[in-house]
Amino acid sequence: MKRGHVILLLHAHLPFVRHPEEGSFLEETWLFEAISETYLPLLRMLDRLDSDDVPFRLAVSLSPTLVAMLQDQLLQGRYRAYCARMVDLAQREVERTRSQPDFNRVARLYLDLHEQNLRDFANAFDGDLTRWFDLYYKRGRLEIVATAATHAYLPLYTQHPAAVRAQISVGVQEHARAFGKAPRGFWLPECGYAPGIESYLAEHGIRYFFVASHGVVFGEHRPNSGVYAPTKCHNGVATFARDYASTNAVWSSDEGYPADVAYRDFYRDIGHDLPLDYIGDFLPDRSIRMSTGFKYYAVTGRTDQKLPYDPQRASRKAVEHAENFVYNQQRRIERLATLMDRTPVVSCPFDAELFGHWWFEGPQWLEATIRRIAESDDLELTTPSEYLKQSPDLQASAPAFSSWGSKGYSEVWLDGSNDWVYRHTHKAVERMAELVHRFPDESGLRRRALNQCAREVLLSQASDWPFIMHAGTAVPYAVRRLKDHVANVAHVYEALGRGTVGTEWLTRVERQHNLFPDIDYRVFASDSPSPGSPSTPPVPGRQP
Amino acid sequence: MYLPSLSDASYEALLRLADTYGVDVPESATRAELEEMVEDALEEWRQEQGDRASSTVRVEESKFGSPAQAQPSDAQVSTELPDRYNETRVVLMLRDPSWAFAYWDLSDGDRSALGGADGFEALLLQVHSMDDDSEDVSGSSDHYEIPISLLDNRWYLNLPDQDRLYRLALVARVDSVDSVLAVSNLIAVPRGTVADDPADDGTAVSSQSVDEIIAQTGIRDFDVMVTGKPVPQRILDLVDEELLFH
Repeated sequence: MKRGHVILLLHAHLPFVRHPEEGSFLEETWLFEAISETYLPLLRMLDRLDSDDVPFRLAVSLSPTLVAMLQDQLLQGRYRAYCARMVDLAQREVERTRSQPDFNRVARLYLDLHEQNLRDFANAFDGDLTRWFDLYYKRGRLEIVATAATHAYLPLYTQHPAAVRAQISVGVQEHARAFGKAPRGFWLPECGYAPGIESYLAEHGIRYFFVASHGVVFGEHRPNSGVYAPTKCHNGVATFARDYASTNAVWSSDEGYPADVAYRDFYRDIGHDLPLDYIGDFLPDRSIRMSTGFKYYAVTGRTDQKLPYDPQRASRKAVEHAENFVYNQQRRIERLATLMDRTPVVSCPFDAELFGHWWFEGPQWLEATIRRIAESDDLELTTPSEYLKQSPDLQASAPAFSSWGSKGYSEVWLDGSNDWVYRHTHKAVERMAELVHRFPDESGLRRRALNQCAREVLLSQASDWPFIMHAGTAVPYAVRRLKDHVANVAHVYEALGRGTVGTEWLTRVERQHNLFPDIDYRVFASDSPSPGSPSTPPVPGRQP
Repeated sequence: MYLPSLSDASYEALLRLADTYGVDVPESATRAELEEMVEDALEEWRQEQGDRASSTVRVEESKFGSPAQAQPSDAQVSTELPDRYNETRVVLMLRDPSWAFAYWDLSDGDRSALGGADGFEALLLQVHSMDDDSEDVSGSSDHYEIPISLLDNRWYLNLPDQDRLYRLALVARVDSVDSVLAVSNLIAVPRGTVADDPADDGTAVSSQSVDEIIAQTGIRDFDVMVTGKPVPQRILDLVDEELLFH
């Protein structure tokens, strides 16, 4: 029996960015970059650990929108074309940097990466990466947890129980469709929790979820185990709290490992640095400057005079940081074990795209960390379900409203840049609930229209749209997507009111937004609260 | 950005806000001076918070790498949404333990009735502190008012107290008589602090050990907005002793 456990959870998510109406689409690159830099490197890591008989356990969350895109044949084909373009660019880069040894070895690294991606994507599971994840899910190496249908930030929808319930219900349904079994755990998008959400999770058989550190530390009672053992809500659903102290060492771009001077700099990219005559072939419209993933400089420090990136030095640093992380966990567990009345567990959830996309050496750090923990006498990797099986006796304490966003609550998704959104997305939910009431058991064309309406309501609620408006990264796209989905809901609402649904319009929208094949519009059946639901928040000091 | 009006907050509520944001209020301070000090503290707090982008946000930003100036690939002009839905309602959304966001609308009928009414004095948002989940705000324990115009439709509200329930009323004042046009949903504002009371669950862990365990979480560095004095001094003392890994 080890003295303590570590849970590593990787949450993978991207919004639904599939645009069959165009031959190519700039925002689909978000998916392709994530596949090339994060998902494929992580899956190859799982293969290596497995072939070396490393006894690893990881938790992974794959959002339903990401799963839909990974399983989509149109996007799979476009990804192969993207990969081929990247190989072409890498070959040109190897040639361009031939007289610059420091840069040439980096160009060769990119050539190897993209050629390997092209091979692996062609050979493994016909390009369906969800089946690759599922392989390890079925072997018990991964525990895949469900998440909300379109990654809605749920605390801003709690006045509409139907919206929260639909996000959770479709998320659970899509998990079962993709992986053939019901999920035990649920990842609340952005760790966004509001009192009462656990009632909807329990309705769908969910046994645990994750919250931010202060969700438990500022909870109903002073937590006897801090964040180092799950607590349970009053309905019995368990709550794992993110360990801020551990995860910040990895997350923080200022103080964390990724800020080390040896690592690859994220911002310097040939898409911005090289003349358009050369790089234009690989940019949208040959003119829109954007990152290509070809970056040649190290973080270096707070200077514009960046040093060339040295991959070998960075790899050594990743291993060194993994050893430091494991050492710190050992010391933490050693101390906690003397204080606690149960086996401590350190919960470390991360955005999966941190590893590889944002922090290029992240997958190397992760693999080294897993191997070091496997060798440790004190630590053991576990999954949330395994921990709960071993330690079912939990302190009862209702968690507090919280998120892992900046400042710990909802400001990222509700500020002057994006607050206009909710008037419309709330109205879309109300209209959907009204349609279900008016058309409780439809078939044929009406049913198709109602099902598509439900998809559009869910798509309008993606946390990504207000996030992008807040961050200012791709605002016109986010605004357009939000408006289009809300307008599509209005279109169906008005068409059904008139008694006429246009087949041509419906077919076009169904083809564009073709996710959630099993959706039943009646998932929005009731806007009435369930007992203890968020629309009737508990009175402070008077827990149920 | 819509800033809240402090002019309608009670003197006691202003004092609580001053305490929350660490303002030393001289005994001789007038109400106007107190309002100004609180407003300055709020602005300072907002600027400080704005300078700190969390790590999770930075990583997430990197996923959406399109240049800000780029237009969507598809040049189609997106549909414009209506400014309003012609209904009288008010919705309250909790943003954090100190701030809420409200949006509202007036139906065409109510709007023209108010605009043409003799004796129409004001349209108000009433922020009610509630003791229970009653929809009748007339029995609320306390409230303050924010005058709004017929053209306004959203506002950020400062919440004087944590660990409270709030409801919002959209009120028309005609001939000095208030009529409630719409009442919002209820929001529960969290405490935003560590609870003093441990759970009575028969745990064998001593109170001192619990304090040390909480100190190990890195609580002082949580990237969380601060309300009042969220971390008891006894826990902070343990953080200061650098117990971690000793």
